[in-house]
Amino acid sequence: MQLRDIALKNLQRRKIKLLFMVFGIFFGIATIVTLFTLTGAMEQSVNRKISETGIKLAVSPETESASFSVGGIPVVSGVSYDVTDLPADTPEVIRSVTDAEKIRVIAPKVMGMAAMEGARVLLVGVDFESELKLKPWWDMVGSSPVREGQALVGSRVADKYRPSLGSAIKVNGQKLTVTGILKETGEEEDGIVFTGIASARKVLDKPEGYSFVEITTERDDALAARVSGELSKKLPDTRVRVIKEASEARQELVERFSRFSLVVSLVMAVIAVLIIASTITASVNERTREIGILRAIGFRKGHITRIILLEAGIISGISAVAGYFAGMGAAWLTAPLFADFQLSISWNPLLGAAVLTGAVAAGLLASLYPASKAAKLDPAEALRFI
Amino acid sequence: MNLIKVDNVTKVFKGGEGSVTALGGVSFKVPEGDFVALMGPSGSGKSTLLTMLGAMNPPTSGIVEIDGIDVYSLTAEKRADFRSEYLGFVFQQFQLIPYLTALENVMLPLAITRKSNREQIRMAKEVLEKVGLGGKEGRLPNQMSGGEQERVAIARAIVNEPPILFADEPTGALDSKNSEEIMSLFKYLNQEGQTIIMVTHNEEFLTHVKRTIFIRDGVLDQSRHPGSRIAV
Repeated sequence: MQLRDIALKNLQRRKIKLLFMVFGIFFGIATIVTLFTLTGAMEQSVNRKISETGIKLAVSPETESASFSVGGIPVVSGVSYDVTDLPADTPEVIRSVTDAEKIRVIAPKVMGMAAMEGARVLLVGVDFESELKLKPWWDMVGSSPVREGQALVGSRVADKYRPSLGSAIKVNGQKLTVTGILKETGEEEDGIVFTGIASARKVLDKPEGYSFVEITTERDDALAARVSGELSKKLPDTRVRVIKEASEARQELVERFSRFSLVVSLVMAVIAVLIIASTITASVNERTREIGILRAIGFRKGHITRIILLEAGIISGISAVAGYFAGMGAAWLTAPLFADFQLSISWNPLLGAAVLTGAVAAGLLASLYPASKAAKLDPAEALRFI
Repeated sequence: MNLIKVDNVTKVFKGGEGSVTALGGVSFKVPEGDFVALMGPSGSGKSTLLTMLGAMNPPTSGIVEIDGIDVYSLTAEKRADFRSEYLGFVFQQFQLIPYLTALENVMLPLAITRKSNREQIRMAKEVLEKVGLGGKEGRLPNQMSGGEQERVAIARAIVNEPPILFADEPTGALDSKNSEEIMSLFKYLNQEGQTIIMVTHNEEFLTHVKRTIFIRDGVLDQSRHPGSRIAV
């Protein structure tokens, strides 16, 4: 018989009470693990995206009369697509800047309103290879166009006109074969028909020039500022702006979620500590006689303290392990709800170890008062209960 | 050799309505191997004296010496060690831990020793055999009769082989047959050399003890100490 056997036996005899206590702490820990895992995965996803996409710049004509956005972020708000265009040599000018080798993508666009089955749609001519590098999050049915005369349609356009893959749509009287349909993004892209630049020129009757150009540089704010400054000088009558990337906006969102998670976790931790403290205190009060007997037969204060702390440690430990796995499971189950972030939930042994250590430490801390109260019990006084 | 020496001990409880003298200058000695009954009416100070002898209740004045050690000169933690090493207790109403088996209850005092589990089990089984409970090691207290529970309580008190065994009304919750059996067990233990001090109300059991201390209103009742039976 060891002190731990006494602690274990005492826990075993109060199964229902133990179950409620474990469940209370387990629930708190599972919530904390879920929030931390989701937040961590979101941060990872956003950081990865930010690192992948670099810093985006938009080069657009100075004139403004309408707005256009891509990916939900007003990347080129104010671009005028029916008036002045950028000069035809704009891409070459961009390639000639000092830090040209640090520019990852140059994605010129030709765009304009066009008639489609009696209605007007926005037609955007892009270089699909560059465009897909800019928007790695695009998800589509079918595939992106590989040659001129083909089109990728936004989901809203697809819903309205019901084009099937391989069928032709008529835009300004020109036939474009639909090779892909973008899945809903919730942004302006849903209402756009994308095609190749040459096709767009033909359909929109814009033989030269560009409506605007998107550029991404490596992730270096100073570099982006240098490129922006140099382009502003080299391309008069244009606006060069650093665009706040969707992922950066998401980063803010994640940071807010992270702060919220921290507050919820703290509240959960405080509740768990209070549950342990109140249950162990009640247990000590119920066991006055028993503790008196142990003290009378020679148990030191330290022995009593150890028994009580062992009980709290065992309860916290079991709850932490179960809560960790349940929390990871919940994170895995709820990750699809955050589809925009494309979360990948992975086992994190460090989080597991931190949860176990934190929970046991909190359990011991919460039990210090009742354990000390039990240890201070005067055996002669306790035996009066007999 | 005197194993216990109580020298003019007093115990005064101070309360809101003045002080109450539970013991008013008690002195006696108990030699090794003695079997002493501590008798007196309710409220006479027997239990106070017993907890005082049990190193749990410091006297207001006076000295309690056990095996030459002034018990209350020790710190509280040293007194706990002293109880573990020198004293065994049989409490009123058995006071077994309800969620532990007979064997585990008996092993309790050994849990704070450095003895291995195997050694603890061997010692506990041996002592259970000695009190007549061989084969009932795995039973929980609620699966045993009152007499059996009392035997477990006695086994728990002597498993550490303490020099002194204290028993507080050990037959208080038993019928006459079981009471007689328990008293026979105490007598047997005493014959084996165990020093026993027992609080009892039942004068019938005085035939089993070697000496009796009568106590009334916190002092020894000399009128009830006929001749050589006075343990003072």
